[in-house]
Amino acid sequence: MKIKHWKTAITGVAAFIVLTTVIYRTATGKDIGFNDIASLGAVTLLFLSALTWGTKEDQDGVREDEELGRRITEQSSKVGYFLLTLFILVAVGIDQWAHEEPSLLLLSLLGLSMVTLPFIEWVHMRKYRAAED
Amino acid sequence: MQNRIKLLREELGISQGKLAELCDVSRQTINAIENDKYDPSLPLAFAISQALEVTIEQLFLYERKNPN
Repeated sequence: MKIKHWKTAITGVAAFIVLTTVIYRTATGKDIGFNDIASLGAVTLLFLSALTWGTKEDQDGVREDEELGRRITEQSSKVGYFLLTLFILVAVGIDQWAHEEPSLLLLSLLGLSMVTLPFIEWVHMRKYRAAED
Repeated sequence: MQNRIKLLREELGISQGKLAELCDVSRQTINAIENDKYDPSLPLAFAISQALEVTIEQLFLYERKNPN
C-alpha cells in the first residue's frame, strides 16, 4: 500500500470520527466549543492535504514541494482568499438580516479581508522596487 | 509556449516517469508541460533539456506576440 493511501485512510478515519462526534454532540443538545471546531478543521485539513499531494517515493501525483505543486498552492491560495472574503460578506448580510443591525466585528473583518491582499502585494512589491538613482 | 519534449523523449525511448525522475518532478508535471498546460521555469527547462541531451532552443518554440 502506498504512503499516500495510508495517510488518506488514517486522516480520513480521524476526520470521520471527529465529524461524527460533533454531529452526535449537536444532536444530543451538548455544547460545541472551540476545541471541537478546531479539531474538525485540523483533521479535515490533514485529510485534504493527504488526498491532494503525492510522494516522491511512490511517484503517485503532483508533490507539494515541486514546481507545479507550488504553482497550484499559489493559485489556490488566491482563490481561497477571495472565497473567504465572499463568505465573510455573506455572514455580514445574514447577521444584518437576523439582528437588523450589522455586527461591528464582522464589518471590521470584512474591511480587513478586503485590504489584506493589496497591502501584502504592496509590501512584496517594495522588495523589487528599482533604485531611483 | 510550444515544445517538442514528447517527440524527443519518445525518440530516446524514455518514459514520462523516467524523465520526471531525472528532473526531480512528478510525472504529472511532465505530462502538463508536454500538453502545453504548464510552462516550466528556467531551471526546470534546463533540467529537461539536459535530460534529453538537447539545447533549450531545440526544445521550446516561443512566438512573441505582436505588440500592435
